[in-house]
Amino acid sequence: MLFQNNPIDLTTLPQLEHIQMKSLSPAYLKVSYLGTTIFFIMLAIILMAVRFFAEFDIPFRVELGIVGGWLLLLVLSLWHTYEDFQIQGFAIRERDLTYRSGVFFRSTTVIPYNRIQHAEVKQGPIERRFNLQRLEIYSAGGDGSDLYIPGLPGNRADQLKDYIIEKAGKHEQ
Amino acid sequence: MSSNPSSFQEEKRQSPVAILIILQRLFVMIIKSAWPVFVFYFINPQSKFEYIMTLIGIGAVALSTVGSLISYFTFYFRLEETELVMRSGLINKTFRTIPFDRIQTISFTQNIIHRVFNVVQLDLDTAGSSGSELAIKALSHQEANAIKAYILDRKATLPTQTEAIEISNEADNPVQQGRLLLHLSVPDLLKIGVSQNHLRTVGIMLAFILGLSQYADELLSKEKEEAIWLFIFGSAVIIALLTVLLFVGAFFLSLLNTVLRYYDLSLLQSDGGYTITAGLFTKTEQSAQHQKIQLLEWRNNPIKRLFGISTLYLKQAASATLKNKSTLVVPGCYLPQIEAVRDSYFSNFNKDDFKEYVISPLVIGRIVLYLGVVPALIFCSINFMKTWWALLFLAWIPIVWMLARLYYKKWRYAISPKGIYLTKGFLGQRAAILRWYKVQSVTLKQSPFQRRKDLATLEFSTAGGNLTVPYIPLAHAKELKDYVLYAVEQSKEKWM
Repeated sequence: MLFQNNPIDLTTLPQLEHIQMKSLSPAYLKVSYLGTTIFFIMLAIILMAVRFFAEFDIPFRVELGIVGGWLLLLVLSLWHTYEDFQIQGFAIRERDLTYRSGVFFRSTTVIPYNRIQHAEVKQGPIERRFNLQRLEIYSAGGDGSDLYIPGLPGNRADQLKDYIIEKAGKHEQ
Repeated sequence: MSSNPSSFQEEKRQSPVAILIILQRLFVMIIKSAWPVFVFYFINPQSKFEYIMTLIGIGAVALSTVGSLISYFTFYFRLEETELVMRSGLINKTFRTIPFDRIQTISFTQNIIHRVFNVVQLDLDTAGSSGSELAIKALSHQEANAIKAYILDRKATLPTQTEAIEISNEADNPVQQGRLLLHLSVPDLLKIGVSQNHLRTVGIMLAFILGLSQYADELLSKEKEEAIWLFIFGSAVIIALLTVLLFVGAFFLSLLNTVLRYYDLSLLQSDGGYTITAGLFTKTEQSAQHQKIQLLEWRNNPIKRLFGISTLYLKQAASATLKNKSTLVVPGCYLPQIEAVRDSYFSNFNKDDFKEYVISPLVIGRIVLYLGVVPALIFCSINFMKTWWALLFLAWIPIVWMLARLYYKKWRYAISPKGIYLTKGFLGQRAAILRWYKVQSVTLKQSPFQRRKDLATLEFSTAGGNLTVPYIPLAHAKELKDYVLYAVEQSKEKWM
């Protein structure tokens, strides 16, 4: 095939910014809250165990500080979970898939369908309770080039996976 | 072949030997992750070491037995017309589909348990990230062979694959004889040896000397005045001698290493790809097919630049676990060789097609802040209680500032319809070249600072590694991202 090198007007290219990002299922926010809370409860249990079995005395002020720190971190984490949920979003276009995340360090990753290696649907125990699925999409790029889209309701992830696999197959020619 | 293809359609388990293999793996993993306990009891020898050891041992056996049984009984696979389907997991369920045309290599491995039971582990590698490989931990020889034959057979009949045959076994398809691009002479070898990175050795030396001075501090607090001075003088002499010795030793060691590794190195270019052979006692041969090369990189340092040589890296597609091994490293390349390789990778390379850009000067401030001001202030405040000399740490800031300015000045990236060419470096020079159709995914990143200043960092992932363009205007980053996506989605060329 001859290589064609026509000049391209950049303004006519499809722009990612013009499409609306779809946010994740609201149930996923609950799952995230639950995950964060469970983590902090475990932490509290470990701290209490240390307190209980410790053979040295812990001053009351230090105890108060640890409890305060635990509370502060819990609140901050819950806030972060909420903000993260607001930002997380994905977009499906004709030829590629986009995922955005990150409260502080924001990143938007795009994988064209003709570069997808394989896709997987996963579901953890909590997610199953809330009827959520997680879609994982792998490209041949190294770390950080794979997409994980959590919080897809019902069997949406299965549908998406089939759609993507079909698209990926079609582009191979 | 005795295998009946329709039997693959049913879901299957692995050979029961897999239980043993998973068990062994889990056991080793659990024992390894218990190392902090060992460290703790090493420090606290009066505790009941044996008791704890027994507990850990019993726990590890129990856990790995349960784990391996669960893992075995929940792992199913079946082969369809065009793909392999796997499901596994009891609580966290995984469903994985691997289309045959994505499979790059099919290999068998055996460890001691495999050999005792006469089974093999079947590894399917898809040149993807770590999540995309599949290992079926134990299968009989016959079954593994049947599966391999079936997959290769199906691959060959798939209309999309034209070069399916080369994938089956890399050793079967060596790159043919071709043009000799580079042959290292003895003077070349010396140049490479002399210009190796001795900085690492210096780092080790410094750590050693710091360790010694710590020891000296401890002694100083106990000994008498006379002895102190003798000790200081003595240790100073010893340290100076050791430094010289270490430095000379390191120099010759890396020289020796260079000779051993790169003696008689030759780089061959042919229609198929590149082949490197080198080595004094053990001759190694490495090859890279043209279509497997994802991106090119070449680097030098100030000494190498003086000699006019660079190290060339041909980065090939490979699975995450093989990533480092699959890069072809060619030390001691002169400009003509680099240009020859570049031109074959980037057909019709022409500087005029490229439009050059610079990154934002704001990167200087960020580097100075994170690598200069923050560490300097931390070291300064830690040592300030002890001595006023701690203020010397602040001199680190202008040094970083100067290096950051160099970094900013050297950063250039040039865009053409076919790819990107970039150069960067602090003291030395690094260059990389990438064709758009080799890109696997594009990521746009923004830190809070970058969001305030309307800047972004753009990352291109390829199967041979990532290429990052930091601190460019957001509008330009978005434009470039859309353009690259367009180029990738339009391209009909196979990235591998």
